[in-house]
Amino acid sequence: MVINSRFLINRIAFSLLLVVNYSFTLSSFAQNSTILSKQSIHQNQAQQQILQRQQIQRQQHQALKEELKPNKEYNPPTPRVKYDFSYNPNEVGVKAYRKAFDRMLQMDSDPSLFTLKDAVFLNEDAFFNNTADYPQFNNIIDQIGEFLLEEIEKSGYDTSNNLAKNLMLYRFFTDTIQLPNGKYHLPFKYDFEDYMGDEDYSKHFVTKLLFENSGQCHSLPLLYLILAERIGAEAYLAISPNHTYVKFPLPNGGYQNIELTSNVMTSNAHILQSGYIKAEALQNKVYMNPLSQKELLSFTITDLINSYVWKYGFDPFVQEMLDKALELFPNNIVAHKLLSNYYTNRFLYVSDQIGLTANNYQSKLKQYPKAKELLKQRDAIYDQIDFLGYSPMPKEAYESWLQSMEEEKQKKDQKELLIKFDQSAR
Amino acid sequence: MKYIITISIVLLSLYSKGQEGSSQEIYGVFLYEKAYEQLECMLKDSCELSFKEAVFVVENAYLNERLDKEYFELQIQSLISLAEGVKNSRTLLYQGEDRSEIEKYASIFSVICDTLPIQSGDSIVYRNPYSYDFNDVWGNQNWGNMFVSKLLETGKGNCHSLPYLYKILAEELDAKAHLAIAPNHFYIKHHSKTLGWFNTELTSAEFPIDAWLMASGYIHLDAVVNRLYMEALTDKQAIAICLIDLAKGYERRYGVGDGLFLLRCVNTALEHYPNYINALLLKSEMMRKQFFAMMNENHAKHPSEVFQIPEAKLKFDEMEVLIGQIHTLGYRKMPQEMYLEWLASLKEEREKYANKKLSNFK
Repeated sequence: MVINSRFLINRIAFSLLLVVNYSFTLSSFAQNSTILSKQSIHQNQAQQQILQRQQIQRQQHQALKEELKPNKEYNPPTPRVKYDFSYNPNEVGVKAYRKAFDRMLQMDSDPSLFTLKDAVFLNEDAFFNNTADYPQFNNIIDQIGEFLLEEIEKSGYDTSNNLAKNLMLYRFFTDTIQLPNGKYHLPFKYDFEDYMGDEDYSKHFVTKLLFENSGQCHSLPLLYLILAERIGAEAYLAISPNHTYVKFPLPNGGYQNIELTSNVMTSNAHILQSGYIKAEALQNKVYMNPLSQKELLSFTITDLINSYVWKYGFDPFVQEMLDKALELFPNNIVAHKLLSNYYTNRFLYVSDQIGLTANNYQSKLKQYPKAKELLKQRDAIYDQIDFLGYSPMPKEAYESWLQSMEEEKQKKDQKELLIKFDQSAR
Repeated sequence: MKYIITISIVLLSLYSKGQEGSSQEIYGVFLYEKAYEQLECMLKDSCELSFKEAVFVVENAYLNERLDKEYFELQIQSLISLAEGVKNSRTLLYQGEDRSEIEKYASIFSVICDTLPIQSGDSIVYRNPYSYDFNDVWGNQNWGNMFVSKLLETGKGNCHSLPYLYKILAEELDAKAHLAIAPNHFYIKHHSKTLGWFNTELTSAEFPIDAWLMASGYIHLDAVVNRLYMEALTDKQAIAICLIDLAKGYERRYGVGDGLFLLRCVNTALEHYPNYINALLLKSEMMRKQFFAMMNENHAKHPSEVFQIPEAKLKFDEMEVLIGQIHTLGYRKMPQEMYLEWLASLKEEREKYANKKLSNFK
């Protein structure tokens, strides 16, 4: 029964996309999702520990294989300690990520090459080992863009008005709109199932959102901004704990927040109400700050890293990408979290090899100065993330905060705000 | 004859009283100069920085040196020994590596906010915590109501004297406590290894999360982003705050006068703490008064009437720039009723705003 209804929704979404004169193939999704290993980084500590073990086991397994190679020379009794994870840069999947990262580096050295549409596509294409179809993706964005521009004119809005463009985008995400051929485009829905993408990372993707007409707090704002880019609307991405949302500038100064997961125009107070934003995080512009183009590029790089880590775990390539992300946006909280996870895992990996325990750690660390150095680095990273004002938000707290938005939606001033915007967009 | 004598006595007494008043005023101003020098000396690193000393000097200047240094010291030291007693008599549940530091914070908090049982011979006596004085919360009637010496004397304090006392005790115990500012309000910020930054609110004896200040709708977001409020202040910034307290006390006692003393305080404070909102506000107020004095001199009724005087125009423009700057930083005036409502919101919405990670903090 459940499967049937889901199937039905998929069918509806599918036909809708066909209505926009476009057929999107799922083949790329289907091919890969089964091959993928189930490694990912969770907020949940217990799960994370299991993952750390898995990664360590895999590395040890590889090391063992190396040891057992017939032509390998005999090793002295003290085994060499590996201080970092190894990876195979020639593996097809890894190569795909390298290609995407190289393109992002080009976007950094020549900012005119940067478009959010391309950066997002690079991410999703790397995940699918370069099998995604760019012309198709491009085409669908173009068509929605054209449609929106026509609608702005039809609605009697001022076509050069930024508020009008954002208002039309907001309508496209939240309202049922009749399309030129008489059919209807339904509002995008929030997909509660595996919204963190723990089981299937492609849940994060904009292509998933376009295909299924449902997404989450990552894909919805990104699609909004890709479309804003296409129709020339000014809007920005902003980060809050475990979450992203859209901010667009108002004619009289200041910004308006758009919360696309529950289709509501939120106030700053409501975002702060979650309780996990510290003053330091605002003062360091970690949260609620409209991201510049450079910072947005850094954000897409951390997206790339997240999906890479989900597939392959941590290794020096992650470090390389993190360095770039932090160079572009030093207070990128996503990058800082990844870095702290990386060093936690690395230290665990090393302490397993040298047999470090709570009782012998002093003598062991003396014996292995490199391990001691690693521990120091890890603690420095912890302190840094702490002083940025980061405070971990539990999944339950995040979910109840998302729910609270529904109440916000019922409020009277929500409608009044939209009416006010509608008037000044003309 | 008798009549004449009476009149002359009355006149004489009036005259001598007037004389006494002005010589007292000269001495009072001298005390303020001395206090300013002491604070400036701390800010310039020429003297040892001591928050306790700074607070004492500021209050003593206002009270015409009527405070007894030794007695004040004795009161503080007895609180310190009480805090150490509290610290040694219990074990915290907190297990972080900075535990000895957290124990100090907890003991100061207990001394100020908890009822403490004290063994006295065979019986146990209870020492009451300090309470919040709802009468004259901003010292409008009597500036002395803001003082730590008043708090020590009466056991009642406000958002000015309570965090100051906390900071003094922390300094004595060699513990790191940071003053932090909210609109018309002070509170304490600490850093711990496991919790990161956390707040201690002494007026309601709570540990509120930042959302209490930021999401209650009383503070503009820009004011937080621009570090007008909610920043953990350094010890030097705390002395700069004392300097503005000094200026305010002077103004209450002797009026603005030629304004030079106040401006000196304001400028030195801003040198060490450029975003100190109370200093910026006092500065804009000073400018306004100076401009109005110019208008009065020229019998002008509207500002534009003195714009032909270059000096006046310049003053007006400067004032406008400063007020614009204060507004852009995110400052909005908060009326007293609103302030009290906001203070109460912490008690009323305890569930929402109390730091749950600190519930075992006993």
